[in-house]
Amino acid sequence: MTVRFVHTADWQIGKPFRNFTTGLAGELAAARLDCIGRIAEIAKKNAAAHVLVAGDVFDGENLGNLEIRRGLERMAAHGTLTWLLLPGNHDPARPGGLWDRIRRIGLPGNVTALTTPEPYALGADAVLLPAPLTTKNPGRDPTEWMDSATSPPGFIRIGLAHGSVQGFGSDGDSAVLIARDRAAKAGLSYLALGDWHGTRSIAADTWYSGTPEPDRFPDNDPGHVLAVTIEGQRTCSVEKIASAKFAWAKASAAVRSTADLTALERSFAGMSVEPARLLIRVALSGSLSLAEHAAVEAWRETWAARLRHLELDMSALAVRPAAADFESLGASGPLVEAARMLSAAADDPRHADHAAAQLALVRLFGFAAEAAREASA
Amino acid sequence: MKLLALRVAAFRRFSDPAAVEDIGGGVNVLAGPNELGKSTLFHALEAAFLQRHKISGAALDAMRPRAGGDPLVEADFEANGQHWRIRKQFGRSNSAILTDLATGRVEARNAEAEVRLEKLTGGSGELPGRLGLVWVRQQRSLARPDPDHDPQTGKGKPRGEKSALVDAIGQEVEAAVGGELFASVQARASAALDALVTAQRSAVKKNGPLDLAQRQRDDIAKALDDARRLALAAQDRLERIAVASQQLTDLENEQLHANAADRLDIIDARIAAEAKGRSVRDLARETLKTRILEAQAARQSQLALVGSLARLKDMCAARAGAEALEVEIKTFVAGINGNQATPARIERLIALERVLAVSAAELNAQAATVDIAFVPGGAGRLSVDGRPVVENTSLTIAHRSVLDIAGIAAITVTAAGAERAAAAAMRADKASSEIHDSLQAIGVASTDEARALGEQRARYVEQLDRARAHLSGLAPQGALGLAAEIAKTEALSGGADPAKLMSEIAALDASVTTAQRQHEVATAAVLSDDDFRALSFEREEVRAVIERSASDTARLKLRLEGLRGEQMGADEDGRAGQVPGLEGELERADAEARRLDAEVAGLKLLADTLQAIEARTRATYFAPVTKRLQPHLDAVFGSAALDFRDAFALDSLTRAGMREDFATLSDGTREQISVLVRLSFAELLAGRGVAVPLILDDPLVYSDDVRMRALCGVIANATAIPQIIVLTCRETAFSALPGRRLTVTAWRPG
Repeated sequence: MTVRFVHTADWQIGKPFRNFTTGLAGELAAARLDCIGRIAEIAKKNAAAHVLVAGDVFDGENLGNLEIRRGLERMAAHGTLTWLLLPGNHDPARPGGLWDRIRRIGLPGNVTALTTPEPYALGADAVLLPAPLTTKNPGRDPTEWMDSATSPPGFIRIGLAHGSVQGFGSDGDSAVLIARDRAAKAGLSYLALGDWHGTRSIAADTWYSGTPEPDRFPDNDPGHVLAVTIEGQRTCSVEKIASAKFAWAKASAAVRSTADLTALERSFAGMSVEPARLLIRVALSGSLSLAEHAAVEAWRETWAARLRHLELDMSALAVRPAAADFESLGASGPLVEAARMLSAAADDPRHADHAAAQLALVRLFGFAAEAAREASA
Repeated sequence: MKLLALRVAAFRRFSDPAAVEDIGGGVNVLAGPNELGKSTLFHALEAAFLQRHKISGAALDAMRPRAGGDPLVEADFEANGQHWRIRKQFGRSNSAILTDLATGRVEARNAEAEVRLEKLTGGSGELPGRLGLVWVRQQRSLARPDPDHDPQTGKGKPRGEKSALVDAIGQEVEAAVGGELFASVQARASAALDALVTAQRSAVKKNGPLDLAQRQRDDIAKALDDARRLALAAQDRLERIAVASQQLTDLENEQLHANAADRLDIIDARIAAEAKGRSVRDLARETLKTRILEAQAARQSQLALVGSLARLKDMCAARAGAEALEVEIKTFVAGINGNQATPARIERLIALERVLAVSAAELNAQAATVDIAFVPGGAGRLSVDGRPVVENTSLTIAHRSVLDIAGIAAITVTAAGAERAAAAAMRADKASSEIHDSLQAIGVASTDEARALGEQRARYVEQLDRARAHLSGLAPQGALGLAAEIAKTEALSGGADPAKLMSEIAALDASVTTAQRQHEVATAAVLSDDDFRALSFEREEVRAVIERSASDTARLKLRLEGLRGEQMGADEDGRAGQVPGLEGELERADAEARRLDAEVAGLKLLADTLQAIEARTRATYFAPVTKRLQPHLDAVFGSAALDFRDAFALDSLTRAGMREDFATLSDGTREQISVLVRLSFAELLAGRGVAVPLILDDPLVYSDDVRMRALCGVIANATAIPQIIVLTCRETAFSALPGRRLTVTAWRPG
């Protein structure tokens, strides 16, 4: 008696990513849809007949019909697999809501929406106990019913839920609390959880799969699905399998010169995917001369082109004109005096023009360098 | 640079070729009437040095003479110690030719010729440069000398004039103002700001990047607001759907639990049974009533019967009495009827008897008495008054009577009171006759008999009255009436048997008791009226509950349907789903707008900082100009000082401590200052070795004689300027100005 399935969650199909450029937003949205195909391949490779999606299949209740249809079509394309979808806090199963609409649109034959807390036969040996969310915040533990749920003797019991495990300190975005020992209490062989976008094991039989395709600069470990095998009544193995197209990372660095950026470059190279599929957010701190600052700007331009996306936060980076900055441009007298005046304001965080002065300095140096370049050309 | 000659053909006023030759160093004056074409010559000068040979459109049209033709301009000039000729043909076969006059060699043609010319004259491309600083057209001398401003519009325009000045001032002030690099940084900061904000820096520049970013941000924010409102409405609707669904489920459960329909069935059945019971009871009650009435009726009949029978008995007894009485009455009546001695007759008889007695008495008293005694064999022979007398008699003759004795005599006897006797006799006769009649009627012979008969009759009458009174008491209608009543009563009682009636009554009483019992049983079997009413009321309540819950259900279903429909519409519309996308867009647009805001703040701070530094060094910056200008101002205005704004723009004149804005000065003063400033510019340029001719086109039209003389003095003394050309129509005004007099001559273009 063996049951194999793929555990995934937090697809959030239709997430628009429009805080990014239009092109990237499109790619990120497409990657979430494409991920369904990758999950199907992983399932087939692992001889799993079922894919359990532990909530937040769709990004929102008001999602357009086209987005919904796209997701369903992708699942329908893998007809040998059963897709079992659980409503989460992003897509709760409210009467007249998203899942009613999905049913109106028409669920493909191999896709099941688990919108009621009722045992669902998973093959001949197992029963799935889903804990769908019916509101964004039901204010109770939706898995509680599993304790008293009956199942034929000898059947493997598998729980499927979406929320935060109590005491785990999850920073998942829902306010749904799930008892940490639910699997034990309800006699589950496995409890498949969603909401925490990173992959995480709460206990040997209780896992968050995380989102298969990251959607934010994470503090956890997204980008995987779990291939689960249950033999007898015990969880035999839970295998974490990479499924993401894009990798997201955030970093911070204190810099005194461009040389300090090489450590960052090394960390980019060490990521699981090539630079063109990397989204990086870097916060720089420290203090640079105007020339170094310009060099960092140039570095940003280079890496913005190499990476799929680079956010460089230089707001904490102080600019301090060095004597060499203007000497090298042949600037003297009034320009240097202007730089000195601006620098005084830029160095004083309480100065009304603190931030403007920082920028004015950078521009002063930039314009002077530009003029000098043109004059020499 | 010095101008040597200027020639024109087909140029505005000059349809015919004309020339001004022999222009010399120092002061040159071309004086002549208004129509001479001085301004045309000035225009030709600009065309030769400042306009491309390829110009077209309005600028070309402005050069053409009214008669038409393609303008030609030729200028000989000295530059860099050499003599040159620039010849520009405008219009169809346009060309520019630069010739070295010493060798007669064409040095350059067309575009190249123009580039060479710029280098020789210090111009910069199409910009007037230093020429513009000192070449002043007629009427423009009133304008504020303001380098790099279009004299026609007064608006800022790059004309290369300021940079020409700065070039001229050159190293002298470079150290102080930061030189070219400073100006360049300033220009770049200004240009960068220009892209973002208006020239006054007070408002965002329309359609600039900041404006676009802000508008985009605002547009997105608005769209997001709309989408959020729709999303909120959708959330609210979904919550209402959830609530209504729950209510519906609750209601249905409640209906299931309350079992109102079943309850209604039970109540209905009870009420139906109860109704049946009640009709049984009502029937029993009616039966009971009937039975009671029947028994009562029987009792009544029985009483009536008994009464009838008693009365019948009485009536029969009365009838016997009545019949006897009637027989008696008949007897009495017959007795009475057979007896004529009525009381009236009796009383009359008695009265007549008295009359008779009285009359007899009276007759006796009055009458004669004749007694007749008959002799034997005499009887019958006498008649008295004719009537035989047969027996002895005594006759009383009351009056006269004739006694006739047959065959003997008639003897007449007359009474003495014959008359009275006769009356009494008459009365007595009458009474006797009446008595006779009456007795005869009575059927008796005497009054006594009559009297006895009368008494008998009276007794009968009394007896009859008594009998009649008795009969009236016994049978008012008489025996026959009574008999009829008896017959009637007998007929009514119909032979009824009181005993039988009594047994019937007993039977009826028994049936009353039975009916009573049945009624009691039927009454006991049904609810009391109050309880029945309560049951009916309960049924109405249950019915109301059912109807209410049915209408609640229907209402909820309708509401749910409506909400679901709305939600489906919203889903189709899809705008609510735009919220996350628009939030992302807003985040981007807002970041961009804020970045540009910060850019503006930074650039403004940079520009302000640079300007503050520049302002501090302005005195140094303007020193070369003011140094040259001051002696001229002193010469014309006594003691005065001019202030410049940025970029050498003239700002104000200060005289005797009074500061006056340039625009408020009189026309004369303005044109004088204008000429002096340009003269100073020309001196400055000459001093820097980049001299250009100072050309004044009708410059001092408003000036009074005193100022005119002073100005002529200044111009005459401006020997630092290698060449000054004055074009004027005021020949006498400038007569004091020494210098070469120029004339316009005919020209034959080669």
